[in-house]
Amino acid sequence: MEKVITTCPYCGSGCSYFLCVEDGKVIGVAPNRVHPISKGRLCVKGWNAHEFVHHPGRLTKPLIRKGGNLVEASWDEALDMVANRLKGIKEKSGSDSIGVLSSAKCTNEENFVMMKFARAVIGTNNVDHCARLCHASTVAGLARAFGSGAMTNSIDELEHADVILVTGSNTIEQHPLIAVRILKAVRDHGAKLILVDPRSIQLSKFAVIHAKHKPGTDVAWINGVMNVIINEGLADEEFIKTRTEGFEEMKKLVMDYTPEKVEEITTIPADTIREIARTYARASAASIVYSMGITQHTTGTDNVLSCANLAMITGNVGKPSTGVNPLRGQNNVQGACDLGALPVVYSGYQSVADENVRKKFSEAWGAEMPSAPGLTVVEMVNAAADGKLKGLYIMGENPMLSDPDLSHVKEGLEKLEFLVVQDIFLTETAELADVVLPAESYAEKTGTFTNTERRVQLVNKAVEAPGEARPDWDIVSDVARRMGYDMKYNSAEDIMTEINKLTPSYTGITYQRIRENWGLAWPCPTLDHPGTPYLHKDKFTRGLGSFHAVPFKPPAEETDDEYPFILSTGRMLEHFHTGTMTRRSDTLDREVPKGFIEMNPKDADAIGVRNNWPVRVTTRRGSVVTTARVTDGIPEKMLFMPFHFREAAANMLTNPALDPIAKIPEFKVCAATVEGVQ
Amino acid sequence: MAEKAYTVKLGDVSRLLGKIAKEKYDVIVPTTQDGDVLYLPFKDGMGVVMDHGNPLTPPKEFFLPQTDELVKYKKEGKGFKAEVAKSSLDCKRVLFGIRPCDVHALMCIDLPFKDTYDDSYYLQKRANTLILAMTCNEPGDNCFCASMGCGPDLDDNYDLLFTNIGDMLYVKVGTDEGKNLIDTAPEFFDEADKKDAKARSAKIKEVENKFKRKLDTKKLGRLKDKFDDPTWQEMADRCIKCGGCNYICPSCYCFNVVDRTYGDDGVRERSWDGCMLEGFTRMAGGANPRQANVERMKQRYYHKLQYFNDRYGRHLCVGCGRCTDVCPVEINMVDYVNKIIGGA
Repeated sequence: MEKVITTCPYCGSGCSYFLCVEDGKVIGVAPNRVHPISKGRLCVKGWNAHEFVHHPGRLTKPLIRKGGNLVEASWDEALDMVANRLKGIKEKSGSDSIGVLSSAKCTNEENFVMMKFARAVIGTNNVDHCARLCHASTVAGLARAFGSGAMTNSIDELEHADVILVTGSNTIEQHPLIAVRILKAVRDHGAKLILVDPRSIQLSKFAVIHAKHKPGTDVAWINGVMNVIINEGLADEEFIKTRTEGFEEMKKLVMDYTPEKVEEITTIPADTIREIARTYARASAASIVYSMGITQHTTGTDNVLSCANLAMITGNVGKPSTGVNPLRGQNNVQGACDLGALPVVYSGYQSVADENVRKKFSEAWGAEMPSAPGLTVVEMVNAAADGKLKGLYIMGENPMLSDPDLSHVKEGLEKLEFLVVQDIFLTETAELADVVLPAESYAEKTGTFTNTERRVQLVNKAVEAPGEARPDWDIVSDVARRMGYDMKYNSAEDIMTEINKLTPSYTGITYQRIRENWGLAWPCPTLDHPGTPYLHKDKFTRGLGSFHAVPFKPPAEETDDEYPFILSTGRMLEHFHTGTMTRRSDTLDREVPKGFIEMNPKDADAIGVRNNWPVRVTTRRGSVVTTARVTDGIPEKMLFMPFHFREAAANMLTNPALDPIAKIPEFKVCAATVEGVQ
Repeated sequence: MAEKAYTVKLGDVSRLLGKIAKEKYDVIVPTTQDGDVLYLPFKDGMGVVMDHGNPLTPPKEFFLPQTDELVKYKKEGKGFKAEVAKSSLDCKRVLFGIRPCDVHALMCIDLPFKDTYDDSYYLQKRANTLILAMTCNEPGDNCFCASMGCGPDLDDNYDLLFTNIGDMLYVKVGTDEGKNLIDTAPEFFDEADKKDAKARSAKIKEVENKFKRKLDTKKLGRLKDKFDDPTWQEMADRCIKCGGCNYICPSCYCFNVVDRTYGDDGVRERSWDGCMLEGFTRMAGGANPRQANVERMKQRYYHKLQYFNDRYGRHLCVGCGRCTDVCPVEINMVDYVNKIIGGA
């Protein structure tokens, strides 16, 4: 028995544990009491994070499509085919006819290599990943308001907030080890929890206020709360004067949002709006925690800007236990953004529009850098369906389950001239590929993940990869070399050295320092810099914090007689993202073996359906049969579906309408109808 | 058993274990890695931690691993050929430094695992392992083994029993096998004198006074009337369903069995399961007698503190406090049970 310390591959909390290794197999998980986030505790996914590693379905050899079927091939044959086909498309149709999807599951090093591949080898900024689907609006919104699109404070600080406002986050299920800080703050330190969420969730039991708003009306309730704060003299005028700009314009707009008007839009009683305002504004340290209930809307960026407004108007930024804290959903979605797997920035959010930045990367990489901004995830699918995008290289992503309107995604992917998918299992997306490349799982490789509080942590190799699987960075570099570009790294650490050189916020983050400190939070600009637990201390990253006047806009699709239900989608405790790993983990899949849809007992009665009965859910995009979970935790005329299940894929139904700035789809609201099935 | 006792100098322990490891034994010791104390196979030069709180992961993993291969099967002709996985060990294993609470936990697991059927996978590992236990000098914040009669001293069920009495370990011999082990490395052992024995007694007494938590075990009989106590719901509301209290418990022994098929070959494995998980009692049709978390919470506590005792005459809790240590939401077993039974 050996025990190898590593970082959890599931949510963005960044817990650590030992993988227990016996005879070259990971057979279990053991917690580590000294790790600063997990402190010897784990959630059910962490406790079972070894189970998928040796699953019989692991990809062990490259696959090439021949005569309609995927058949095993040698690495040489597969990689030559990838290189030649991509090269052919580039020569014939231009660099921008190729797209690259990087991965929030992969390491920082792999994301860096993949975005370098897109820019230096293919010559396009068409590189994105599924952060687009979860927190693109956070990155866009907080960058506009504060200058930095990340969680402003650290996880541990939550324990010491007086007031915690949680909205659009089912924290206990999605970020269990962060939620426990909230529960501790409430029980042990007398903190007040305000919850704004349409559904009753486990956190509701601990909240002093639980306001259930109509999905898609976030801007309205936040404007209403600010209306009360201003009118009752609860704003922090000193902070507004010295640290921010744009207040007057916002104030003018917010004055229209009286609690009574807001009640009409949101269904939150006017007095509850007042109570939220008073409780939040009177705290000496108030922290906002949000997740995809805020971001996954066509008004996602507006929602994020509103959260930033609310924090600034009360001076709750730049101090311990305050701030605006988006909880990132994937182990390394923060890192994939940080390392530039985005169509408009290089690593460290250095803009592709900046000539000096392009020059720096051009010199470092010996290639001309494209200047036009690239396509985002959903735009790539659309471009493929339109025939403009011809080649797509997907690393560790599964758009055939994660993206909105799956029929449209399928149409796009099938229209591509060439699709290569690199993953650890034959995912729903890989099933459509021309070439499938087997990659190593987190248990088989070394690298770093950056958690939601910007802490860069180590992933350590515990066992050998199955069959011929290789690390993602190694595969991508090999393709690059076969395309005539000299990309050679000896190890993940070797890549980090290049990241250090080219990325100011990561310059001081070396493997040795991470090892010594249980990770380091960026910005960490020098080798002796201690890292940055909370941002914007005396000054916002952008200088002054910027208020934005944000008017309420309804969701892209509203209910009508034909589709009278609001359908919202989301996640649950036992499963993760597209289920690629958790549904191949025996314990986790045993816990929740099939998909379901939550509906109110009155609605169930009305359509003659009881708990556990099959129902058909239909939207303008498609129709899915699943199982009714009847619960009064969900309001009437609302439905909720987790998106992890391929056999009851919520994203057959979701609306691909995009936020105009962040290009995030509106997963949280669409119009649906539901009926019983014989 | 032999009355004779010995001492070993603290500075000699590593060399002693090194010598035992050369005698065809796999030696498992508590050691520090990545800042925490773990049980790991002894390697030359490895620091053996002697005055530590209990490792969080109990030695259960060496007898009932989180995942254990049971049977391998292979397609042969038209049928399958099955082969029982190698569950006995090639060589004898020595578990050094295991605490009295954890020895008691193994005694607990022994009972159901040799009840109706012999669980040979577990029992062979038990039979092949020498228990070199060590009394505990530093009870942790959540430890209450003394309340459960499972520590800090140990009366039996060890091969050798060590007590750290300062610059040396006092060694009691529990079995012939234990004595044989001493005979393989006699140069490290001195005969203990009365002064040493007194030092040991004083140490145990000192430790008995160190416990911060006490479970009022005399009142545990009241549990049978407390099935509808509202405290259970309070605990369930807080629980985040991680299963950690089951997994980390040194005496929880429930497991699930799954088959994994790799092409024409396959393997049947068992893995830790737990009564706190919803799927544990769910039936094929979806009905679940313990659907609500509060029902599972009660099952866990009643099994620990009443049902097991009804059947086997001892509690299934040894007071190690790990379920509290590992609980992300700090559901403190002692506090809650005392509250329910109106205890101290």
